[in-house]
Amino acid sequence: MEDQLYTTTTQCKTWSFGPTTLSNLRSSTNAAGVRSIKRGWKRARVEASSTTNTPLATTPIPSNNNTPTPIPADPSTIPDPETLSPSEELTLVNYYMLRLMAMSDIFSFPSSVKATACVFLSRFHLHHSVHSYHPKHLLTTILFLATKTENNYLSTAEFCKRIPKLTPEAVLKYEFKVAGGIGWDFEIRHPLRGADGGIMELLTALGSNSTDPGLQTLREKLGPNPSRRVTDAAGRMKGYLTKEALVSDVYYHYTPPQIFLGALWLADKELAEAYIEWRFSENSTMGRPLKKKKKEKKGKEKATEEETTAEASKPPALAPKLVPAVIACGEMMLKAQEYEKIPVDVLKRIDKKLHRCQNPQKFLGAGSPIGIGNEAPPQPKKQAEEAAPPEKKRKTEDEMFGGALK
Amino acid sequence: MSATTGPPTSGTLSNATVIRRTLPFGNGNGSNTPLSAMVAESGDIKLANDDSDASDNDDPDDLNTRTKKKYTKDRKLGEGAYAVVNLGHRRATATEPAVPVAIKKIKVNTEFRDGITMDAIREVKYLRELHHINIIALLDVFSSKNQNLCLVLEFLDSDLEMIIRDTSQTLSMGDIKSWMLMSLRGLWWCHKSFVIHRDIKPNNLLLAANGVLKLADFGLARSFADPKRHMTHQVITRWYRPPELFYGAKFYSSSVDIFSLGLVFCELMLRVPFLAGNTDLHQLELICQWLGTPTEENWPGVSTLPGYHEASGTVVKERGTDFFMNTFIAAGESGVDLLMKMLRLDPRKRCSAREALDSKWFSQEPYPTPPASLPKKGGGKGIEKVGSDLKRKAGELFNTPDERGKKVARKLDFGGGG
Amino acid sequence: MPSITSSTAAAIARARENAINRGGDADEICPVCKSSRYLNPNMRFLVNPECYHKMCESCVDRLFSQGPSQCPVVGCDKILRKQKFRKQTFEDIQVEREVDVRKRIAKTFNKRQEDFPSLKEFNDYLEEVETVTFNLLNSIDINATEAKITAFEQSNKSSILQNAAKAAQEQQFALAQREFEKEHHRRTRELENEIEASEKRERAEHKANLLRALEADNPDAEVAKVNKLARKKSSMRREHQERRARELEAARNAPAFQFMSNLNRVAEEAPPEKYDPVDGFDETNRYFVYRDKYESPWLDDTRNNKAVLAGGYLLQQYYERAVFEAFSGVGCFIEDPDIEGGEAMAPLESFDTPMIDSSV
Repeated sequence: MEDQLYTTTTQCKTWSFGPTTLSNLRSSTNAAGVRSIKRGWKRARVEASSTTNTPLATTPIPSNNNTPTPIPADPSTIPDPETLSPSEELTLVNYYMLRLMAMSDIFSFPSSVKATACVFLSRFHLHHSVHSYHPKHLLTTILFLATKTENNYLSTAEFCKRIPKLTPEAVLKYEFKVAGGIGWDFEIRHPLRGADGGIMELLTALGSNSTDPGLQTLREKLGPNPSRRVTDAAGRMKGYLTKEALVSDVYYHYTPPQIFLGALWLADKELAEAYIEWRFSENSTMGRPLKKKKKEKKGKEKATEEETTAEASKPPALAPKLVPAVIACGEMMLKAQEYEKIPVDVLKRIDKKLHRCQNPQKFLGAGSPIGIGNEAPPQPKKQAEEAAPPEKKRKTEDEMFGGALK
Repeated sequence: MSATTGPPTSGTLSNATVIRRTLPFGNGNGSNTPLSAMVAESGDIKLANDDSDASDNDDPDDLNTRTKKKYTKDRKLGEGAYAVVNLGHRRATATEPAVPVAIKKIKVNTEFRDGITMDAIREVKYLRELHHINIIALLDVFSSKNQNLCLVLEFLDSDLEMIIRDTSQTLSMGDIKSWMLMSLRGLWWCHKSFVIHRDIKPNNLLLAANGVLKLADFGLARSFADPKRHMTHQVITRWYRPPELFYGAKFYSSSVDIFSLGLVFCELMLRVPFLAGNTDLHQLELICQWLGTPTEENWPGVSTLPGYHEASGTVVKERGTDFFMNTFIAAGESGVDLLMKMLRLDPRKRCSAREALDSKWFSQEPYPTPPASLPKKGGGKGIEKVGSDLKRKAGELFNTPDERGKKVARKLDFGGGG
Repeated sequence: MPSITSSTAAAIARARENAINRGGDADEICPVCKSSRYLNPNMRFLVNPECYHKMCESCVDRLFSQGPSQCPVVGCDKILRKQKFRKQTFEDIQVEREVDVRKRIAKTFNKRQEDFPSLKEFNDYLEEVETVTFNLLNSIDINATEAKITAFEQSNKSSILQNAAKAAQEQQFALAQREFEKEHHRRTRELENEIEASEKRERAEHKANLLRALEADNPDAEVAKVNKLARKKSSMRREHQERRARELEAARNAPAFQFMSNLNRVAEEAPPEKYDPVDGFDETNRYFVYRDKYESPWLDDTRNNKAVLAGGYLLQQYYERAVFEAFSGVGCFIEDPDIEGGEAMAPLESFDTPMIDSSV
């Protein structure tokens, strides 16, 4: 029943993939992003060549970056910019996810808000390339949306007070885009509460005087002070769950209990393996109290439930399949630590590339920025966001240059 | 359901569920073939023509537009301060005929400057997860122009309030039992999914054309609070609000819904709201009068609640079986027993939805009426009324302040015939 | 309540008389805007039970659409709401008011004869009620009277409610009875029509048979045969119809509760298959059983916090949720679709249509 209920969640139904599917998805999103960059450049090039004699083209665009000042002798000779690869996109998203975490800590939001915000960001970029949606423009929006979905609502005014130069308009500008971009699936199943439950249950079992042989074995493996060892491991586990689990892809490949066990495995391998052995091996009692005792102490519902099914359902022996999954999950989280160590200049290089991609006008002397968050007139596709007049203006412009494209 | 439950992969693992997911929503290549299918077929992505506008698929608007195009808007059912409800249809596809739907367009609230309103967030968040025959189905979400959020909901004919108020109909105990059973099942599912509804009242219990009752309006819902996290006590329409919320409790549980549903049960029998206070204070007085005055004795710890104040007037002992048997004799012994358990003052003493479902009442004669045979409120009028219910702001009893007067007047009519 | 009913009846009679005497109101004038019905035959007059000052519909729209406002009649300081305006039921405004007051009183003073040990006491009570009503109607000792009503309300809370419930039940019952009577009449009529029709048919048939018999070789014997057959047939029919009439009559005289249950649309009285509280849902937890209490030091203060507990917060619910979430999905393994296996892939909709099924 537990598994069955999980399969009804949107997290399972729409946001769980195998590794190949996920990387295919990322590539296709990347490809789409690259296409939009190419289109933007093409358009800009056409624009540049058709406006060569206008003052705009001859006046060098003031550049506040270190980009070379464009002297567009012949825009058509300037090659398309180098675009980001899927893995570069991911690197960038993960870098901003770390920024997002730091931002959440400024507010000292509960871990649920932080974790939800991170998952929102990751899911959003699963379908939206950074080529069109630079994560830096979305962070506050995402964090603010997460405060609302996690019942931690505070007003935008208050929200903005804590971050310099932030305006409510900026926070809300892309809210619909983000909410739609994550498919309106606001409920995220985090492993945190489950982890607390699992540890709670384990400690309770260890503290009991149960004679369950599996539990005895577990106790033996854990050394002189089992409870102490579990508590220590739980502390480290929480660290993994609130950081590595979010930065890595484990939310897509594993279910919350598996992630919890993966983090536990990272915290204490022996403990995690012994725990799985106890709970999910062939002869496990599943933490059930041995039959004769305690039954009447349970709530009515559970007692009857157990009576009727005690014989019928032999707990599934998951261990052989679960252990490798948990280890793989743990290793995946561990790998995510690399994102923190990525040298700044690598990030800078990616960001610079992206900047070039998104701003053909700076290099061609014409065209308009690609993607959201640029101060320039809005992209025709993003009209819904904008007030009516600029929208109309763009449309006519579009017709003007759109014809030349065909 | 689309998760493929694969065959067991190894002999020893007969119980593991294998989920093989393809992409949930393709980045839409303008074609009808879902991207996922293409990936599955060829292992890589077929790129659309570089220049075609349809290939500008890196855009959520695209998905949004496609969702939007699945529906037509027929006519307006009602408009309120909070939302506009339209009757619509899901366009027929190759495999499915067109189905009527209700499209609830949530207005941009000018007072609320913080983007998507909390009501909308909650409603979307929970309805996307809760799938049960006794809970209204959210079919889709999209945003219209001008940043209005549109929820596509299962279309439902009428609500329980209309049935209660339509005094030309007689309601048998079997009917009442059937509605209670369906409400409790819906509530049980919410609570099982760790969600508190927080606005149970007759006009949020909608009825489908086939008689099936469904919980609706999750604008005030929230999931169970983790320990030490506060919840607001400003929830649940006054007439159905339990005493702990009037005392400003910040920590409460799913038992608030049980109390509300208990009052709906009374209302089904009395055909008027059982406790209809004009103000919060008055409502609390009514609770004290009719159910009993909360005291440390019948509700340990009540005086430690932040908003607790000693009741004025005489202290009424918490009502026992005699009172309930006298007043609600029609429910029979087991029905009265269930009602009492739902209306206990001390929230911890109230039964859970699951326990309520175990009540003997449901398995005794008269048996719950099969949904299809339940009394119905006919056609057109029903549609309008549900329209106006859906658009009402959560927790609000009336569309306009004046409407309150109307309902109270209705109450005056009652018993005035003699 | 006899006294009230009779006085209402009297009021209605009085109102009718008034209307007749005045012979219509062709020249009635709206006291507020002075337009007359003579000029505007569609004019409708409305009153508000706060003060019963009559005015025309357009005045109401004009004055109260923006929200509650003071009554426009000079000297009247009542604040009126548009919602409360209604058409006059009775010609005489005094009667209108009296009916309203009586309705209000009847709601509170709803004791029944069976609530009193003797008829005398019941009559005294009615007398008292009448006094209160009279005072309200004629604005005598308003404050004292209102106090009296409140006091009565306070001390009779539960009986008021119980009687209201009883009255509601009786009303339902009466309604059901009326429905039943109607149905009974309809069926009786049907039966009568049927009898008449079948008699007519029989007579025609008999006549035809007779004619045919007369043409036969030995008419006498044939005629006798035909007559005998007709007699037999008609007596059988009559017997059948009489039985149905008897059944109808019996149903009518059956104890009240019987026709109530007849009325209920539950033809499927047969007990449904075994009651299942959760409608087929499998509640078994495969991986764990809940305990009553868990080791969790950080929750100790919550467990012992009186204000938290008094609000109804159930720590047990957190335990259950946390433990449930520790295992919900542990046995689900997410894999890539099995492309080589040639497994049929169902095309996926953009968003899954929620499955509306409790069994999952």
